[in-house]
Amino acid sequence: MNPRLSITAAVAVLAASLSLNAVISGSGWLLAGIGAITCAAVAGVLTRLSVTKSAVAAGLSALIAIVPMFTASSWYPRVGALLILALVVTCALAGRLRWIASLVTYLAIMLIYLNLVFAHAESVGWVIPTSKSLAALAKLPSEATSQFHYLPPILDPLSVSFFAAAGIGLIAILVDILAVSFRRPAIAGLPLLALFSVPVASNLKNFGLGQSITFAIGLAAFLMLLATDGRERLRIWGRLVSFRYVQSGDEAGPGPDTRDIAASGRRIGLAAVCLAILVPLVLPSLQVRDLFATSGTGSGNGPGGSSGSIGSVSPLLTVQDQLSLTSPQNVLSYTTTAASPQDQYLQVYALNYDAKQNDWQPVMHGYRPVSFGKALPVSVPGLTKGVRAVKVTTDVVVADSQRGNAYLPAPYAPVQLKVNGAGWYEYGGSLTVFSSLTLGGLKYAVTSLEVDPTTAELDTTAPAPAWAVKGYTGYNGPDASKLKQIAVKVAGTGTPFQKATHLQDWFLANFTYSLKPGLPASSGWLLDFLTKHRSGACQQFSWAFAVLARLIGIPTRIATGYTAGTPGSHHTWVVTTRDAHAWPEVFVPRIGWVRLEPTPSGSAGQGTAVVPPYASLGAPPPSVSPIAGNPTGNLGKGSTGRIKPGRNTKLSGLSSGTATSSARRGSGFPWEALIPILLLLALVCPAVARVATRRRRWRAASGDAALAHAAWQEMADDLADYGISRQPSESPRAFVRRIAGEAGLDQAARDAVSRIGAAEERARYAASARPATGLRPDVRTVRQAVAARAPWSQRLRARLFPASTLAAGWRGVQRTGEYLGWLDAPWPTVRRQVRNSVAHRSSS
Amino acid sequence: MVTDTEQHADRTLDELVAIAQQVSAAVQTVISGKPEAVRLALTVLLAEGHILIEDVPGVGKTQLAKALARSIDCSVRRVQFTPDLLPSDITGVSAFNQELREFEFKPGPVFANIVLGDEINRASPKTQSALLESMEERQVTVDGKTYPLQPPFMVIATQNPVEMEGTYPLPEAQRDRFMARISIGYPDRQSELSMLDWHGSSSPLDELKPVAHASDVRALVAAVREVHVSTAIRQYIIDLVNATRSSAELRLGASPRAALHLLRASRAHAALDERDFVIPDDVQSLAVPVIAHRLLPSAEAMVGRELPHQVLAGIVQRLPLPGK
Repeated sequence: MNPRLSITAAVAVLAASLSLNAVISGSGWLLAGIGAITCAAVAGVLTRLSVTKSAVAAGLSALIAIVPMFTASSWYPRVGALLILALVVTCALAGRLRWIASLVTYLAIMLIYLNLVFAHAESVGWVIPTSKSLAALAKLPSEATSQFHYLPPILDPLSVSFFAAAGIGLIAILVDILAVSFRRPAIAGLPLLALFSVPVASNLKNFGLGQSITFAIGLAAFLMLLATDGRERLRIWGRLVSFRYVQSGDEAGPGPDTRDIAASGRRIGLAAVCLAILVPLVLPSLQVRDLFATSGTGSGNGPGGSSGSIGSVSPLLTVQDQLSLTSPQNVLSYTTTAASPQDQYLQVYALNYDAKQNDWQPVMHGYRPVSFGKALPVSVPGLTKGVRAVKVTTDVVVADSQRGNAYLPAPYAPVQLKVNGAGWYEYGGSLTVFSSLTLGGLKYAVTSLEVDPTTAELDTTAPAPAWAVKGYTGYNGPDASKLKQIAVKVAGTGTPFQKATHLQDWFLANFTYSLKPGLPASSGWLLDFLTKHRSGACQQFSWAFAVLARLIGIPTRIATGYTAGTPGSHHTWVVTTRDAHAWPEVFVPRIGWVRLEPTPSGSAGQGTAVVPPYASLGAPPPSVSPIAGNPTGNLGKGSTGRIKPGRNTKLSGLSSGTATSSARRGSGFPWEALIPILLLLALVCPAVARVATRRRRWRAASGDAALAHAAWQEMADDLADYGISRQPSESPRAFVRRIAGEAGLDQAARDAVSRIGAAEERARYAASARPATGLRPDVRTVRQAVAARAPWSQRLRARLFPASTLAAGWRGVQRTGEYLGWLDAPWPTVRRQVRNSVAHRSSS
Repeated sequence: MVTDTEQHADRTLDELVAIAQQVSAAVQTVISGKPEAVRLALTVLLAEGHILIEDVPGVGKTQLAKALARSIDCSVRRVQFTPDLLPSDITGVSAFNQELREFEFKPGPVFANIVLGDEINRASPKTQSALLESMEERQVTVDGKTYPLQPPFMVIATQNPVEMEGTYPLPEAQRDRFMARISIGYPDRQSELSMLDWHGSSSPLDELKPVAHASDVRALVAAVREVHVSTAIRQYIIDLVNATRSSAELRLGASPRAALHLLRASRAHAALDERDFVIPDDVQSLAVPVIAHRLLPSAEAMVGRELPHQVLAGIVQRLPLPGK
């Protein structure tokens, strides 16, 4: 049996499993998966051997796999094992029931492999499973499933690797059975599709280019599987004309020429795939993103126009979801030692601006384990000694109804955590603590530092540390320049923190609160929000504040979590989904992250939101504010009542133009600027290469024969540039005769051509070459003559894209196509060329 | 700089071409409108080969052979092959001389410079093989004694196409001994008209006078042997015969002898073209006449009505020249 189909099936599974890359980080799972795929392929080959051999393979693999049953203490399992063994061997030898033995072979080999990789410590001699090792294996899936609550990509502990390897292995077995044993590769696409659907079904938020590429790779591998099956199928009733294997014995033999059938099948397949990919791109009504992304989580949906999907864990959307609940649910209750608990927000995530997606994403820079009752592995960022900070202990009880992520709400900045259970980690230096446990019903005590800065400390003009400036300032989303104008005007003058409070006060004074802001869900919503609608919820306020602050150089991030909630009985504070909140934090040197509150609070706003005392007390004199006539002083702590939107003629003038999203979205290296340069280079490259080749050729030619060769080659290339190509079977004389007749040259050029031809002929075939003089002018004469009669378009093409230079690249493409079998019979010219090269290869 | 040997070779070549042109002109007075056939016959003569003229009756096979033989002043014998012809009718017999009281060898028609075997496929295979043996070995063995044949020695055999009745087609092993096969074909309208004019009044063959001598031919043959064959050409010839062997359309490819014949014929062809070196064009133009009659089509090709010479022409058209 030809193993080519088995190998192709294995490659197809491997390519499809690459798509898991988006869900699982690390590479251990992939290596384990490759092993599993290989095992499935090997098992498949074993099952397709002759009856005796496959029976032996089935018996042996089953024997090793059920060793634990033999070693069991009671005799039931032993008898059962013997029965199984007998059954397997009998089935393997019986004609009709062989599939049972095959299935056992697959599963047994997979089990042995998984045991070898994941539980070899408990096995006998690494290979033979024992009851202990099987028990260890059995534990792994439940460990793995607990990982799946997390925002992908999930980490790659052993259990996840096991889960991935086992899943990939099972799919590899299915594909092998379907594609190779049953010869139904089209149906084998279904299990492959299952692999593809893993990232789609997961919580994965953003599908980028990488996902599309891995999808395309998987697709290509599947097509390859189909094509290989087609080739194998054709071989059954005909000779397979494959250039790659033209010499090998098993392919030769008489039969009809099936190239055209095979090639047209491939072309139909290719056209279908191209159509399927291109049509959604071209048709405006179909969003390409929706091919891959889960609903409502596309980038730029910040204004809350979309409701967000149930599985979404984008923190800002979670806030939106919780606020939108018609009947609020209890989230948690706590008691705290804080002096003013109402000022103490419970933070869950810290988000930083992601320029690539124009969105806010959790800060992710690895994770570190957290020990019970010990200090967190990360110190409070930016906080220095000397700043007054009070240690506050908060005891939290989470409601049982809470599901999913065990990301602990905690007052900022937590320094110590007492929580039961193993596997607690601190998330990327943001002081967010998480674990694989379920959040619902958790009880924990968290000690945090409540910073109480003085006005002088806040109003420092010391520069922020480089990491904060680099990581948390700047914005290059849509309308960046217009937004910056607004930011500069609103912030006015003062220290960075004063500017930030000016921004906060401006929002509080001029904006209204609404959970349904009615903003367009476009990338330019932010400008609309700031200049026209001026109505939104905490996500919009924190987003807008953070963008403006970043634009004037203040390091800013967004935090999500809960406000302090409402006081209940016995000094207990109760937090419900109504208290879900997002707020900006600015970085103040020596103090660290400091919360601000641009969202209106009270009954007409975010109910329990509170402007922090340091920000409301330090309100600047009105003269500093650029918005004359808008009182800012009445926005103290706990201020209630609807605040009428102020009219700001200056600012509304700014937004007269429609929002455009022309601003550059990417970040870092200016790739877009490279594209024209690369294009230009690509445009110039062939022409330069042609001239260089010409120079080098003439320079390298020494001696009569070499000069003749150079002249000949040069003339052939020139003619090729103008579309007159030389057949490989054409002698110099025949070529000269042809171009003298075909090319419509004048007499002088024709003479030149025949002189060059004669010189080349002598140089190649005569005992001694003739002195070659005047060949270079002859070549030039020919070139000019050919150019003179060519239309200008052809002249331009010959200059810019000389065919003789491009031929090398084209040959590479052709080889690749030939290798993959795509070019078997696409069009006559190529076919002839390929045949020629094959004829030459087989004859030399 | 041109060396002495080159000058010598050039002179010989010039003479050769002059003689060849005279012979060619002389033959063409008999066979009008077929210069390629005449030239090919000359090529084979200079390359020391034998030629098989295959065509339907009455297109001038015998005329060509006779004209060529007569235009060179050398001994010519003609054998008309019939089903009852015996091998000794060709090679000669040892007859008992009553006076000398001993066996005396009476040379057969094969002892000549040019032997014309007419309708060779009408004789029995036994007789055919008698001629073919002497063709290859250039000697005749009768009753244990060996008699060499004098150079130049050339057999011009004619045969009717195998489909015709009453013929014993030459086996492939024997066809392989002929350097080239020519098919004359019907003359064009103009040539046929003029033939009717001419041949009605007199026989041009009778009026044909020899324009060269056997010794001239020997000198020419020696000159042809000096023609330079580069490595590239040799590789090309090997590529060509190999391609016929590996072609799916052919059951039997070209033999090593075919490669040798092709090389020698190419030399002669180059010499007739006043060149002292062989170029691929020589090989290409000779490939079909020199190789095609040795090939057997595969079943596929027979079903597709593809004749070996068409297959071969296709191969020549596709086969790339060896790189420099």
